[in-house]
Amino acid sequence: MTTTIFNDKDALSALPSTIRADVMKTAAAVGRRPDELTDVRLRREGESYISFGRDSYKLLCRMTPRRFDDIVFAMTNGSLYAHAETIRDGYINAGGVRCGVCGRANLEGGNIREICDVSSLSLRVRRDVVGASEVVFDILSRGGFANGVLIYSRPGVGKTTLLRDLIRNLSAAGRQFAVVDCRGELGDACVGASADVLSGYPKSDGIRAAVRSLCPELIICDELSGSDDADAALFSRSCGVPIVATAHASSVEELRMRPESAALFENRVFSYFVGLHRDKDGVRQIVTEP
Amino acid sequence: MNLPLIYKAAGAVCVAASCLFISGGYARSARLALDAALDALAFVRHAADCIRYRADEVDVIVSSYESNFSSFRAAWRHAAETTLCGSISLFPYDERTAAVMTEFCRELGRGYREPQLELCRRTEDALSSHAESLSSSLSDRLRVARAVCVFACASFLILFI
Repeated sequence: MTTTIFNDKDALSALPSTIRADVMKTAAAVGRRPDELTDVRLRREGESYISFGRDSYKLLCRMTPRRFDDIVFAMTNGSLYAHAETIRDGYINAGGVRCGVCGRANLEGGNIREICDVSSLSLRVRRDVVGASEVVFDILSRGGFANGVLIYSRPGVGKTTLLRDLIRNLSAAGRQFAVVDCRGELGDACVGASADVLSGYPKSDGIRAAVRSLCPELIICDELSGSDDADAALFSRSCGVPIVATAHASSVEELRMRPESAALFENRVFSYFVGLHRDKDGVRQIVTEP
Repeated sequence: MNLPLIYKAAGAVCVAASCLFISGGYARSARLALDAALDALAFVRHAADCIRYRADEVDVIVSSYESNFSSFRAAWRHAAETTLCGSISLFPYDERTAAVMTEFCRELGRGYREPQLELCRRTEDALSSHAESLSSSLSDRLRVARAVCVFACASFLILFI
């Protein structure tokens, strides 16, 4: 049993009020309720859209380059320089709401130095789903909170939502755990929680710092990717601290394909894999043991 | 005391008071403009430090700034609660400082670190040279004010001789 809580003030608060009004106006014009909104895509030059699941509608607004730049300025809280690193990683964290960003990459030595001329923003409307983590919480509690769990799905199915609900459930159960919140998406779920929050750390550094200094029962971390993160997860497991993490993939086979995953599977860093699959009835959770 | 002497005394008091009032105001306005420019300069330096070392957001930069001039603190509080650009008019800036600060506030936060630090450097240079000229004009004004006071006292005495 899951309950979806939508708070349009929270979800769209990252947007300036004029665009928020345009979003509401468009939703009303196409006969959809604002609480069904899933995505807002704004483009500097092209058309802007809002989506309700798989249905997308052109946003009823006149987007000019000046207006778009003002939106980017507002979403960075009037401080573009303070968000340079996350923009380089492809997103803006606007008060706990993650907004995808793309533009022109300025390279230095083959690496992205900064993103200039932001051209698109993609805001995914966040919802809190109470009960979304029941399966994972059950797995953890049956194993005495000693098992690692990897939650995987395609983008936008609800991995972060599940983690946010799991944080609330673990807190309610009085567990002492650490949250590595490198993108600022989990922090507000931790308010009042029995969690130590490592906010803004690179994932691998955050995991290592948590293991070394916080003695957590388990570590929660969003979106493992790359060999650094895999090494940190392995380090955590080898120190006796299980990790609950998420990854982008649509099957366990796809996870296995990644070179950095070999050591994770070989050393059984994760005792369970929970796949999230969206179909017409909602999100199904499939549990796999390696 | 006869009537002409009373008129003389009243006239002398009026002349002296208006001279003191005008010269005092003349020097005070220059002092205020200099203080405001120095305060703006201190804020720009604070902003540069916040951007360079902590990448603080603009609202944090404004709210963490503590002015050395108690008379400007209410305006800074207002700026922290609303917007910096919208609060410029609350400061007793002279025309040049107001223009520099308006330009600075318009650009602050609209670029990445290096261009923002360059903006701070440019603004700091403009405010420093302007504060220097205000400082030298203040000493000129103080000299004028002192001279006016001396002449007022002298005319006061002459009227009674």
